Parts: sequence; C-alpha cells; structure tokens
Amino acid sequence: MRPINLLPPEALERAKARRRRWVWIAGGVAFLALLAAATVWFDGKVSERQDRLDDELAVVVQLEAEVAGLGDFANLKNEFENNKFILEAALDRDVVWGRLLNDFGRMLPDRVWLTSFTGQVNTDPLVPAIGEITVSGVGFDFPDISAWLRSLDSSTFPSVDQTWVSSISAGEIGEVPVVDFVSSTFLTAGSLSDRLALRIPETP
Amino acid sequence: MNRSSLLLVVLGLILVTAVWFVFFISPKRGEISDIDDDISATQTAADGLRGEVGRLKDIRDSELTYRRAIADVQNSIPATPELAAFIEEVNLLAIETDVSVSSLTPSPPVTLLEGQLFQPLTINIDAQGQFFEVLGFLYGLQDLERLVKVDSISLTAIVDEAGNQEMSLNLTGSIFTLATDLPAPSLAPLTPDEPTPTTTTTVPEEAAAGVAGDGGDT
Repeated sequence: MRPINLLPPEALERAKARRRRWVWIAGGVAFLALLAAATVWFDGKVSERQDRLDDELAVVVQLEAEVAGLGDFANLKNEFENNKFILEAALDRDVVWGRLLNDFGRMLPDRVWLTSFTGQVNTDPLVPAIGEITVSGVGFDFPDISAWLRSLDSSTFPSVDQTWVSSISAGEIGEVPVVDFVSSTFLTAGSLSDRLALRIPETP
Repeated sequence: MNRSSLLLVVLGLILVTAVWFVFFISPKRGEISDIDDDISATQTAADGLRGEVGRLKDIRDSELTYRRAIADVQNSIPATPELAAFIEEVNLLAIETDVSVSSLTPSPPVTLLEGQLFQPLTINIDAQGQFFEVLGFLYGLQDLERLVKVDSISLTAIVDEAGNQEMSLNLTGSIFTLATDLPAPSLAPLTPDEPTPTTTTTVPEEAAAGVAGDGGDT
C-alpha cells in the first residue's frame, strides 16, 4: 500500500534541519572527544617520561652512593698518583752510571786506556742535552784515537753520541811513545735508567 | 547547509584545533622534550658514574698493589731525611763491594720553592776501589731502597801505596725527602760571602772500608 504523508512540507524540512543539527552537534562532540583523547595521550606520554626520568635519577643516586662508598679507594689512587709524580720528578734524567762505565770498559779499543772520566747530567730541564762525558786517555798512536771515536759512535753503544776529541798530543811513558787525548761525548736517552718503570707497578 | 556555512565550520575547527594545540599540546611537547633532555643528561651522568664505580672497584681489587707501590715510594723518599739510615746503607754497600769511602758530604736542606713537593738533599761521596768494585758500588747505590740519584761522577786512575792501580771516585747526587719544612741554615748567613755549610764524614784510608755509621742527625 502506498504511504501517504499528510504533514505539510515545512514540517519535513524542520525535521531534516533538526537531524542535521544533531549530526553537527554529534560531530562537534566527537571532535572535542578526539582532542581530549589526544590530550590524555600526551599526558600519558609526559607521565611515562617522568617515570623514566625518576628511574634514571634513582640509578644515579644509587651510583653516587656507591662512588661515595668507594671514596677511600679514590683517595688511595690520588695518593699513588701523587707519589708517582714525585718519583717521576726525582728520577728526571736518571743516568745509569754503572752500566755506562761498564759499556765504556767494553767498547774501549785494545790500544787505548783512560786516565780520567767525568760525567755530568744537565739538571736544568731547559737544557735539551741529557749530559756530557769528558775523558782523558792514552793511546799508542794517532789511529788508536780514531778507533776510539769509531767505537763510541758505533750503533752498539747507543748511550752516547757526537763524540769529539778536543786534543791529541804526542808523549812518552818511560821510553814508549804514546798519544794523550781529551775527548767528550753527549749522553743520549739510551743512558737513562728504567728505575721509574721498575719502582712504579702497572695499575688499573 | 550552504558552502559559506561549511567554510565557517571548517575554519572554526581549524581555529579550535590550533588553540588546542597551542594551549594544551605544545606545552606538553615542550615538557616531553625537556624531560627527554633530562633523561639523556641523567643517562650520561649514570654512564660516567658506572665508569667511576668500575674504576674504583678495579682500584679496590688492586689495593695491595697500590699500597705496596706507595710504601715503596715512601721508603725511597721518606717523610724525614733519615740521614743516619742512609749513612749506614752506604757504609754497608761500601763493605759489600769492597770500596773504601773516604768522605760522604750531605749538604744541609735548602729553602724550598713554593709548591715543591719534596726536598732533594745533595750528597757528595769520595771513594776508592778497583774498577769493577767501583762499578758494583755505583750499581749498588742505584739499587738501594732509598732513592739515590747520581748527577755527576768523576773517576781518576790512581796507584795505591802497594802499587796497585785503583780508581778514585767522586760522585755528586741527591737523596730525597718529603719533609718540606726542614730548617734551612742558609737562611741566616753570618756574612754574605760565607759559603754554604756542609757536614763531612771522613774515614781514614787505613780504616775499614766504608763510612763509619755515626747515626748522624735526621
């Protein structure tokens, strides 16, 4: 059966307008609800981050307490470093004279012998040379002094460098002709001791 | 609804969204960003502290090594000059190496520079012996528990009364002490040109090798 609407068309329009208003209101409410939800979600994120920060801060506090508890060992380390510094300063340019003399004895050419030996360390740290050795010696002939120079400047004697002979003069011992000479040489890093390494143990 | 109404609604929505963003979301985003920065800084601090804790635990595990090293340094460079003990040590070394020490001259303390942590005390030793005995004496000085640093040596060949060839050794070096408040005799000289006073211990040639341990002042 065909429906028959007896209401005037204005009533129908009003009803449509009412429905449309409700749709708009519902849309508006939904939109506001969406914004509110987004706000709550952001609040949650802030809260979550804050909790994480609190956890991290708690960890820091715990670690700080642990560091404070181990403070004696920090003091121990400081005392060690202080002593190490003192030892380093005291052993600056520490030459091993015993080894140096022993090496001189070994390196001396057969026909040369020394009558005096003077070694001096430059204690002034501004002077680049570690120190100097001056010797007086005797050889049988001039080539013996050349042998002396070659011997000291050879790579097998790294403790000294730049050896020089400042004078060679002919002389006699009894009736034997000899040559007296005066020579100097500079100490190198090879002449330094390893006492610092020996007296300071490896530490973490 | 006509187009202008729809445009107004859309503009209204945009406006509300913008207001919402500016007044609600933007501050929260700033807050999150700040907290993230704080978390990052805290994590960095925590990492540093973890490293520090690890380092301190390593030191704790090696405590004996540290304490032994500190004790060694304190024996090498004692808190007081301990001159008497040093003289005895040199005497013992001279006897062991068969070197005859004829004099030992320790210089008195000097005024320290500001910030100087230790006091070097200059010593001068005269000794005689065969070449290898002198070598042994020099090696021995270096091996003493008390730190001795030799800065200069002078060796001269000599012939003793029996006609044997010997070496005459003169060395200058330093021993060290942590005492920084020692009296400095040079502070009040009697006359401006008076030389710095020194204490000399001399042993006669005929006496037993070595320096008499006289228990000098410390």
